[in-house]
Amino acid sequence: MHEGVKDNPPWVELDELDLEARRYALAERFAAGIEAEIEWIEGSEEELFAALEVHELDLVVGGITSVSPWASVAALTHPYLTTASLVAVPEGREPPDDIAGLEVGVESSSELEGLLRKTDARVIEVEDVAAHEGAVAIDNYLLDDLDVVDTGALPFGYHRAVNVGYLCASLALFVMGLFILDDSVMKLISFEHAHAPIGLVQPWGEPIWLGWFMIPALVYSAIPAVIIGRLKLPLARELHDKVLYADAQMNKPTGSPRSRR
Amino acid sequence: MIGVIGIGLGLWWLDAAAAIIISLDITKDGVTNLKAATGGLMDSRPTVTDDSQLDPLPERLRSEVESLGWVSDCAVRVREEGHVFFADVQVVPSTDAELAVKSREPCTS
Repeated sequence: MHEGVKDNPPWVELDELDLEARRYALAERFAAGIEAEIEWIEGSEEELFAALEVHELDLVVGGITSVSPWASVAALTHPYLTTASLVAVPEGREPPDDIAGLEVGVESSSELEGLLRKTDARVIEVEDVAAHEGAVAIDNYLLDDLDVVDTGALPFGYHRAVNVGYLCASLALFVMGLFILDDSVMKLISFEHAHAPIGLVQPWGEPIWLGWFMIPALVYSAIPAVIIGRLKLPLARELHDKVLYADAQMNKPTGSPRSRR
Repeated sequence: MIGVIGIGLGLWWLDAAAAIIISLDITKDGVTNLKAATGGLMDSRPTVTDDSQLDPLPERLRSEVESLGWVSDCAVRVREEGHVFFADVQVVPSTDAELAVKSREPCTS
């Protein structure tokens, strides 16, 4: 079995002494499982994936992110590490409340620099963030190496954003339900007839009531929602996404608020 | 749609009546999801995606930890944060404490 390998910390580090024991254990166990001999080939991502695509390599190990363009030609394993970018201050220094106006060091010409420029922080380009005194923008896995601490705004990350979105969406749904209930009860009590009577058209000389056209149009417009709803359900289960699940449930014919008009 | 048919049949009230039934259904969906969303923010025990039952993962984690040789007792609580779960695992090591400290080290780094 031919396997490519690419140096890209923190996912894969070639210069670590215990590299065989830790980083490649998985590939080796896999090879042992299918009784294959490993021949390691080093190379750049470009070289390795190109070789993989034409079946010269069987497996590529490297720091490949889930948004890699190579995902379309290769089957990627499930992500095992999620990194986040953050602004950190030297240990022992008081973290500021806000990075607006704060001087933040960042490695010049990096992705982080571009991201930092979109914030209100004052960007200072540095060659080596480890040598910079004061706040720096780094990836979270470097915190321990650089002796700096997270400014602590979101120590648990953004995962809860999903729950917040779920709460807002279900509150909106609840209020919408109450609003329609109130509106239609009032209509019944006050014996109010339809605001704008549905008119007539004469496409073939005979007057035809527009409502008869509305019914097939409404049925037709409900079809995509039902199909999309059914497609969403397995994705919602796979992602454990309750917002998407609730949304998919409401696309299906049972309890389909949007198919009324 | 029922409303349009109703008007076509001359039943002016059918539109409002259908709207009431549908609004009750939407309100019910709203209440169900509000409960689930609030429960999620309150760190209630994780449930499966359709909220029909408790998620089996915390129980699996507990039995997994319990089966470790150096653990005599453990408590596991898991909170659901969007797509991912965060777990607190507290263990009572068995009397062979030295072994326990050794085994723990890879986890804390």
